[in-house]
Amino acid sequence: MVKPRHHPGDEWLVSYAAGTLDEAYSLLVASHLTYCGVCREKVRAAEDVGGLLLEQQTPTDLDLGSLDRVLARLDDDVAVPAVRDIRIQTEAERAHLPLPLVEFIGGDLNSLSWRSLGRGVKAVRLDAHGREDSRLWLLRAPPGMRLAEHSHRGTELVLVMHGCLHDGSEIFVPGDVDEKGDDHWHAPVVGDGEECICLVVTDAPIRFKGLVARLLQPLIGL
Amino acid sequence: MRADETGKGKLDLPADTATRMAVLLQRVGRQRDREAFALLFRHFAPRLKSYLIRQGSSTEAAEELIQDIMLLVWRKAEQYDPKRAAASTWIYTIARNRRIDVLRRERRPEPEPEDPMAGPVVEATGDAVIAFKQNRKRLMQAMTELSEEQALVVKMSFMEDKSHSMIARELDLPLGTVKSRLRLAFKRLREVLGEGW
Ligand SMILES: [Zn+2]
Repeated sequence: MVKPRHHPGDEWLVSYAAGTLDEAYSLLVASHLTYCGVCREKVRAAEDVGGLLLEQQTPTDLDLGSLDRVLARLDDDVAVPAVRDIRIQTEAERAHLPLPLVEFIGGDLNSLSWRSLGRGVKAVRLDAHGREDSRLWLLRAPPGMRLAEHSHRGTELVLVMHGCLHDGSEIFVPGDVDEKGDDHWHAPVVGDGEECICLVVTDAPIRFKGLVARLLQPLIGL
Repeated sequence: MRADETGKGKLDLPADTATRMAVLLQRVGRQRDREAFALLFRHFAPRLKSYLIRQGSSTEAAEELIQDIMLLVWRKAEQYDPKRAAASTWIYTIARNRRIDVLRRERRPEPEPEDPMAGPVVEATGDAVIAFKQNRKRLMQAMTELSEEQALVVKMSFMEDKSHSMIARELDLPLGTVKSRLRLAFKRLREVLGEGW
């Protein structure tokens, strides 16, 4: 496995550690962490900030009997939620997808209702909860495909999971995150050879430049 | 006597709090030691209560959440590795995930260390236990040295469950400024910890 060279900005890693991200961003970060040891270490360092701040909290008195209540429950016979679902893990391995994503969609890519956008491009909006106007979807596009030129009012994060994507002078392979900020027009091109599968998060509806793409917006709910 | 100080010496425990908590957590993991668990509870539960209330929980909900969190600590303690994290950090991650689930009713995707897809691990160098003790001291120092505005966005993120745009609205700042303050604060902290990557 090649080490990713394109990472999400540190503000995403810090906020993932703080636990303030929407499900959509959180899933994209967790999926990137699957590929990236460097960012895993950064998240660990950021979690230490959380641990330190917890340690520094001024203690608040607990209800009387709080400790006894928990002590009485220690022997409750509950399965330890430690080992993750084996079936899902096998699924993830087979499909070469990060485990957090496979868990999130609860199965493989074929179980999703993909919408065709023409020319072999398919997309599916995933149901993700959160406090912001973030949107999460999966995109698959055939080799050599030029995706509609578009720009954003907010941020767009793209995690490549299969195949590759050329954006400007840069190339993104599985594990890489392509992050584009405000009013950056771009038209990524799928590399030759393999289908490209990406996880995409935006925090504002995309504005497609092309007319056809714009017509498709209501269909795919971007 | 403060609740924190109970048991110091009785089990022949280290005086340094972070080291003592790591030892207690390992005892729970290896020996299912209830006395060690009770000491951990006395130390962390009152801090968890403050944390959860700052996260927007009612005092009643905080009490219930603490029951859940401390039961998870008991059940998962075997997985605790003092080389990887301070006890407070390990308990923090359990509390964070639990409150996202209960208070926000959202899922918390996490990478799986055993995922066959996982990229190479960046190994800690040298004596990890000593490193983390020193790190904790350095981190404490570094936190006090952050600029006021950087410290504020860090605290709002970790302690008040505020997203980038919530912070931007509350402080009346552009979103980009909030993001760059978080990035700069984190960069500063990592420099102090000697993590140059
Ligand atoms: Zn990374």
